[in-house]
Amino acid sequence: MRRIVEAGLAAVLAFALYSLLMRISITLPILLNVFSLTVVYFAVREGEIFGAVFGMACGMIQDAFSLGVFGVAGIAKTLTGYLAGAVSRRIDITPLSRNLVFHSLLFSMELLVWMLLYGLIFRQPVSMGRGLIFFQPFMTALAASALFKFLVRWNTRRMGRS
Amino acid sequence: MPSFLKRNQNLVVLTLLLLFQMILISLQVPLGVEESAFEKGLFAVLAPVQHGIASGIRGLRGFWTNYFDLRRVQDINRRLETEALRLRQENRLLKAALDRFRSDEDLNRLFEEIGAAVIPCRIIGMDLGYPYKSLTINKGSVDGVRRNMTVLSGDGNLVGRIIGTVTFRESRVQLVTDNQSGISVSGPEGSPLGILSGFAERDGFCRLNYILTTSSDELAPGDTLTTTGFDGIYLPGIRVGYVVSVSTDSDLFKDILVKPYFDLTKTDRLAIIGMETSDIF
Repeated sequence: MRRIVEAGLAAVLAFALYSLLMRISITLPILLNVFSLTVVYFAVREGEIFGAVFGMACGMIQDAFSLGVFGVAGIAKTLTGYLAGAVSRRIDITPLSRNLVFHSLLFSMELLVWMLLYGLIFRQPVSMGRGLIFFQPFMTALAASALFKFLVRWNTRRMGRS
Repeated sequence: MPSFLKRNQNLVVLTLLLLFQMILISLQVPLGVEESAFEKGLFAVLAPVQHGIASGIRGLRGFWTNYFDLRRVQDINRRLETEALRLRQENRLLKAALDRFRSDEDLNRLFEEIGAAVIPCRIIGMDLGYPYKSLTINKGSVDGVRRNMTVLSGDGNLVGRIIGTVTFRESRVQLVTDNQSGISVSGPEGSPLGILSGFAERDGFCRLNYILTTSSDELAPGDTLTTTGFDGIYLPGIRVGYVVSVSTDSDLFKDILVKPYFDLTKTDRLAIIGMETSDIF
């Protein structure tokens, strides 16, 4: 129950952060996908099923506040959550370089799935944000790796104290 | 069978989740149908978060700007007094001009209606998928907001229209820069007529469609486009944007790039016009 409450709070926090970034600058949310970051964090921590369900929830929040078809971001984030959980159980993603590659590939796959679904449903080109959208996987991966490193250090320090 | 399901439990759950969302997508075909209750519910639950963030930012900004603005207030006040005087004169002249065509009673009723029909509002959120598609504003059905009402910026330029997902306190606005939008517009002399839509390949820009390359009507960079009202949604005579470039390279239609006057990054206050074309004209 605790982890569901935590995930719910994290989703609301991600939504708030996303809205805040958008108010600061329109380009910031194009570069950094806060929802994907949250999904991957919980998927790595709790496993693929939790990741997939949480991915679906976050994707649906994104879709509800976006003009378009409800479920497109949901599918992309469900796959991201599932893959993040499944792959992180099989390979060690603790080294920073491996962590960065893991996140970059994951977010690139998510962007690709989203673009494919969007193109298929709307039969129109996806808005590219003047090409900035192609930096999104790497920028989000950088943020995810930094967060991962920070949490590992924080947990180690906390364990050392106790 | 159960052992197979047990062995591949994770994949089965993933497949079910994907299937559920695919069904959800297929239920929304054809595009443009009403949002589901689920989507509306999700919107209603989370919209107050956006409300809070917008208020917080506004408060912080207000504190910062109030301090510095205090020194410029006198200057601005003087300018506003002059502007108000000019507008009062203009208003009087317009009333006099209208007076020739209608009775006093009709005119008074019209002015009262127009005044009451303007609903001021603020932006509380932007589209989470692509910022140039839609906005969330802080006025909803309780404030008299209805679908298809025209939304203008503070300086009277077209922003978009109210679309679905109107809750009690929040509404969603489809922007002129959305590539799914379609606005009937015309050039400076009332022609050529065309349909203006958002241009997905260039953020914040629009494209004027269906002007034949053989058309004799000339549009030049800098020309202002205004709404015609023929689409039955937008009120006529509202400034939308100006022509940036005109190309006749394609076979059938001219390629006309338009920059809307409304700037998403510089606007916070908007006005909803709670009237329909037939109410005024």
